[in-house]
Amino acid sequence: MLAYLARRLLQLVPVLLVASFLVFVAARLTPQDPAVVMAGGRQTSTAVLEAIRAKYHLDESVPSQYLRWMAGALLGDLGESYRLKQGVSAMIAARLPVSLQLIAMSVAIALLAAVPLGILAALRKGSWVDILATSLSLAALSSPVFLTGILGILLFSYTLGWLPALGSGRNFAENLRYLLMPSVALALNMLALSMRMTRSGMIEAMRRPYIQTAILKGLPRRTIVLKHALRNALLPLVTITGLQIGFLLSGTVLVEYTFGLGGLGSLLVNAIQTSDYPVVQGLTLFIVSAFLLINLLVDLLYGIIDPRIRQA
Amino acid sequence: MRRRPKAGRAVLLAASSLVALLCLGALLAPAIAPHPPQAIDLRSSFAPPSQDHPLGADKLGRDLLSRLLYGSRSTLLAALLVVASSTLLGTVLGLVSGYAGGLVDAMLSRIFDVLLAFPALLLALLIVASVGRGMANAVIALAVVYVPTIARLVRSLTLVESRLAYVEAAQALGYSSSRIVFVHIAPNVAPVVLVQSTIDFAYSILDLAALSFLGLGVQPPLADWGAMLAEGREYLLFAPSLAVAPGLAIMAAVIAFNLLGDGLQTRFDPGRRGA
Repeated sequence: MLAYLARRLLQLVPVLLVASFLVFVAARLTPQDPAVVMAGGRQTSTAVLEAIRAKYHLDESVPSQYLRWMAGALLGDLGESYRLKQGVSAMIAARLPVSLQLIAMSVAIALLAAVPLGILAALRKGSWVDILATSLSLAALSSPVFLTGILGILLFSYTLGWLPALGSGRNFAENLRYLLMPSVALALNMLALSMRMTRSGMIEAMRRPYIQTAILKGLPRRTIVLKHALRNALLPLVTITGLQIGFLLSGTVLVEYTFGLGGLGSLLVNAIQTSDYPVVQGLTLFIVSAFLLINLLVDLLYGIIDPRIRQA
Repeated sequence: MRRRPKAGRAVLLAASSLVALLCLGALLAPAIAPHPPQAIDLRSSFAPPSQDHPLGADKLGRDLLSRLLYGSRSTLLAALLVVASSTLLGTVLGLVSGYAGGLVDAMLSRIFDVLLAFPALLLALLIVASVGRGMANAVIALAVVYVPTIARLVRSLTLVESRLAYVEAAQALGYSSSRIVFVHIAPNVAPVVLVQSTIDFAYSILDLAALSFLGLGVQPPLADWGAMLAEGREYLLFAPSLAVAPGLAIMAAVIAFNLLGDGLQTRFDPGRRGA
């Protein structure tokens, strides 16, 4: 297991290196001159621009700038924002908690609803419960998160007045209320997909011979469904989790923008809109690394749940 | 729900009629829209639905229905461009990678690994940040994002196909590799690619709308569903239909293409009907 972990971690290194180079080059391909952006976009004398270029090492070659940036990144220093003159790492650290809480709440909501619904739909295949769940999941998969968010604001904030429409609270507990609607909006896509996976996995599992054996043995239906069938049905759910994390990370950008939350997603959008490239490249590198690491964790988890994978 | 062939056909029929309706609306927009999409008329600012403005008007008095109809043109055209280019490129790369194997396959696979290391929308955002905002750039960005998924799919199918007897027979007859790949293998992977590209069409409508919503795709005052939603969001309390109507239009289009993908999958792959 340790050797497997080490091998998988080593495989990540080249991917991350190439990805980081891609991120860096993408930020440098832009038509705007970073020195002009830093000077505030106004007409400035060449002397000032030269001074800015020298201070931020923009007069060096692209490979040497990349090496300087990567060396800093390895030590946790992602450079400084052009606009706010703050460290990018500090900006990420300040905004990370909101995004993390949003994602955690979404995953919890999605899985807690999807698994029971999927089991129910599978056991009552063809019934109205099944048809309703399947149709609603199509609607959820097809609705853009910002539409779901806007409809939620209209219904729960303006019409019913139950939940705050925009912004976040001052602490974790207050945030539970502020983040409820955003995390439901974000969760719907994952909920629908997981519900479908649980449903088809359960249908598949219930057809297997070992379930017949369990039924003939006279085991209670509860034990058969929850213990024998569900464990096998959940395997495909773990497989697509990587894909869903990608959806969630993309989704946070849209949800945070829709609900005016100060997380990583809205930081990225603001940075792109204002051409603040150190923030764009540092934040992208951070999110990609997190994405790769979470995917690795999911693979490891899969190995723990399904012993066949570890031996292969 | 066990879909009998009949039920499968019904889904396919409903989905294709919905898609046909969307295309018809887009094609006939100049003929059926009551107003030009950019026509400003400040006297009917935020006008409620009436005979003249069936769905009302926005802040500048532009007719909402007309803008929705014209908006479907840019949405569908952009999604078509994304899907056509990514499917073409992805299929060719996947076929080559799967059949050639060796160094070519290894290099292409590593490139796809790196691209897939980015969450989809994040890669699109990065590309747009680098080449600049606008509809053409959003289309290019999403096309790049979609290529590796298609290429991986086609590669795995090609690996399976190239071990089958008909490929061996073609090799024994001395056909060139390009003939075997493009004449013999390609038609056999086409159904799966068609299903995938239909589903990608649904996703690209969503992703394009997302980019426009963030102000990085189609730029106002052009009529586009994502951009209209972003504009309408400012008057959400005052005139909710300005944001909700284009949102529902996006959702309807995505449902249509998702259903079409489901229907086609059932049609081409009877083994998966039960699931």
